[in-house]
Amino acid sequence: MYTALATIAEDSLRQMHELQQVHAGMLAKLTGTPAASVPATLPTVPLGRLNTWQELITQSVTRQMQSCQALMRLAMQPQKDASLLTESMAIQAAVMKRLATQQAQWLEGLQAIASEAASVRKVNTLSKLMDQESDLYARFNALLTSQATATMELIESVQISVGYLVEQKENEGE
Amino acid sequence: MSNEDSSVAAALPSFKADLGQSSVSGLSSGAFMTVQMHLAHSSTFVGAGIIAGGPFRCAESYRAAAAIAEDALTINALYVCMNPLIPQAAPNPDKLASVARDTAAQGLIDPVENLASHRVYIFTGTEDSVVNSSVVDTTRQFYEKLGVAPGAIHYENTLPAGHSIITDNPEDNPLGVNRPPYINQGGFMQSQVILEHIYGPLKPPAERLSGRIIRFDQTEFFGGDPRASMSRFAYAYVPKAVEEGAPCRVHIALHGCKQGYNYVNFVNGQPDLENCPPYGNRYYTTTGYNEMADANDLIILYPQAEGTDSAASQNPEGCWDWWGYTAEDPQNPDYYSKQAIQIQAIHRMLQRLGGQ
Repeated sequence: MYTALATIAEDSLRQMHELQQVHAGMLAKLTGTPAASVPATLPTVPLGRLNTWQELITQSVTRQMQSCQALMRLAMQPQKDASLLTESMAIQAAVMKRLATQQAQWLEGLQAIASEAASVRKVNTLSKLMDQESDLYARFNALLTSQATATMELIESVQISVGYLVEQKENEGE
Repeated sequence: MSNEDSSVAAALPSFKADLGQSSVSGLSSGAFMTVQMHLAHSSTFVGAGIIAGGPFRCAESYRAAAAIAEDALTINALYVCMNPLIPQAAPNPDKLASVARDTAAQGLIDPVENLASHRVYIFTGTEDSVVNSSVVDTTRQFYEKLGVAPGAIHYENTLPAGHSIITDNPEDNPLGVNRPPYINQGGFMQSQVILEHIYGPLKPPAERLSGRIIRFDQTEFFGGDPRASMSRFAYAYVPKAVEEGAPCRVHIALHGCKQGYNYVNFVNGQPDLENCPPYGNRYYTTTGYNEMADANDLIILYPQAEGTDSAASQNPEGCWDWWGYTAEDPQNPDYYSKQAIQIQAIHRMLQRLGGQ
């Protein structure tokens, strides 16, 4: 579905590029000036990035499904290894610990930005004031990004830990 | 790279080095590389020092992590080999010892039996949030399973240190932090503890250095191939007596990520050339190796990795390769073997120092 949409979008961009070239040629004939060159590759770049997102999300969902299937297989054989339950609980505890750390970092970051915003610093020019405002915005943005990245890391970490543990349990019986 | 003048870097000279008495140590990615280097050329080494590093080929622990081999290697490196959620999800030392034996049987690394007589130093700080202590503990188990006598392993895991090499320099970071340049002060020179553990009692470190740091062009050792992710220059500390012809031994000191001489931080995905960190030369000048080398006729070789983030290699932090980013075929990565581009380059430098 996604691939089909991406192909349609790429085809549309190609057609648009051809139209732009024709348009530039017509303008050149009318005005008697050389035709301006039309950049060809730029519009498809975001599509490439989107494709990477799609690939990695698919990979993540697949990993999740494989782990669930393996967990179900193991659950059907309760005599095989009871330690998985203990390890699942340990993973839950580890996740809670990391979320608590993340929360503390979030609050600490907000506090630091708020205290900087509240402190009046000497500003003589509009440009410096603009600079300071931009700094605050950039710091808040960086804090948001680091929280989002940490959450994604935690999701990946849980997926890998569960999948890896389950695989080891399954291999132990072979 | 554009500001570097190649005319000031001579080729690495040769000395009277007894290569059979060589050793290697490193921090973080340098520690992972130390394990690889140690196993690949165990016939050359007598010991190794590992500060916050995991076991051999641990990045291949869980292949099913992703459909694409390259992605699986990276994911394993991050979530199994560096920061597993729980100790049970850390690398499996039994399995990896078996992998090492198989790799040796294929002739890709030296026979693991060589390790039986070696001495190994392994360290993890209890405050390390970059490479979890549970991982480093598997490195100790891995070496024991390969025949290194427990008495020959100095394992230290009780110090409240962050991810760092420890020094007694007052200007270094506080002991418990986890931040660049990953050189923390703990009241002793860890490099000197490593060298004494490997070589036995040594003369105390020199108070004033007699020798000099040689800057050399290391590109000849990897053919200038960008895939190697190695800098143009590297360094070696050579004591005066050794330069004048005294017999010597060689120790290879491998820096960690973000510690190469020309490391540049990436900001919003771009190298921050305007604010190049000022600590690029600290690993090879202030970590205490050189003072010990000076008093004991040791050459310290400091190869340098370079940060690159391109289609050729994804290594923005300038780490040594222990998860296959230099591999031409990620399905069959060779980053751990004698044929690996970085291991081959460092081994060639070692041979040059020994006049081979």
